Amino acid sequence: MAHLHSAAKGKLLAVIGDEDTCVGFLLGGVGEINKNRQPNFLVVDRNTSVSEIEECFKRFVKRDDIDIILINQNVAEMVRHCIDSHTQPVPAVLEIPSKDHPYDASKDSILRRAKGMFNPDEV
Amino acid sequence: MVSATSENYPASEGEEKLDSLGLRALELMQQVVQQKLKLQEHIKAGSINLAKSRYIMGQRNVSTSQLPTQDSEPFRALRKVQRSVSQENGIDTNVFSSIVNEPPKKQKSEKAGELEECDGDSRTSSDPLHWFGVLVPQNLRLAQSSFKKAVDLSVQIVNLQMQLEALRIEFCSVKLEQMKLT
Repeated sequence: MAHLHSAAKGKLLAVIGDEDTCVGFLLGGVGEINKNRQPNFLVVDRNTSVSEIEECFKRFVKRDDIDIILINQNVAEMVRHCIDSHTQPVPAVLEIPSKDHPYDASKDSILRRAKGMFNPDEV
Repeated sequence: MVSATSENYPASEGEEKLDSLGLRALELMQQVVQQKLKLQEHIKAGSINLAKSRYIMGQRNVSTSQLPTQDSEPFRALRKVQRSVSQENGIDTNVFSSIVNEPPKKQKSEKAGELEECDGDSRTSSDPLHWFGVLVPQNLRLAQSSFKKAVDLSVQIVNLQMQLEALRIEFCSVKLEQMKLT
């Protein structure tokens, strides 16, 4: 019971990604539909517009029951300005590879920001 | 000796701190990249098993149409994270740990449902495998286990990112102080 109680207190992982990423991570057990019938995932396909992804990302950032946002790196590329402007530590944004798009460290926002540390012009 | 140096030459102490912070940041960056490549392996393995399941069950039976939508019954996540604050190298850092909430056994589900309703939340949680049918192929179970590992690894990578970000902020503030001194 104590275990269930602590689980209820935990925060969610949200997923924004292609079909396989969403199906996979939801199989892994991160999916939830809350009492207001809001899901914590967005399946991005070729019909999904950039503004839809942007809106969804902003909605997830605002939700206080989400602590981590998992986003495919190729989808993150489409809304890079939103991700770069999100500087709050929580919710944390994790760019993940997908089966069609291997991980590219040079595009990762967090690593690009960290690389700036070694740039003499940036403080 | 150290105190005398820091009093006379406070800049050198700051420089040393910058060096050690920079070195730690490089180590963390390397770890983030390595772990993400490991995550990629888990995701790839999971995707291959999803593809094999599609071959057995049919293209449309392992797709987003099986996922719950806004019209389906609300349910709880089986995997969540809990946040705490810890000190890494004297810097406050958020640390996430994953919580696994196993689905209740079937015969108890009704009673559990009643109990949960008393708490003001009637949402149930069940194994996501059931969305895809009762008798699912072994490959779908293998895909599930790969993605469970991917979820756990993701939480670990987020922790590394949190350390890196806290370190970066500390680095910038030390660097600013240095610039004021010189």
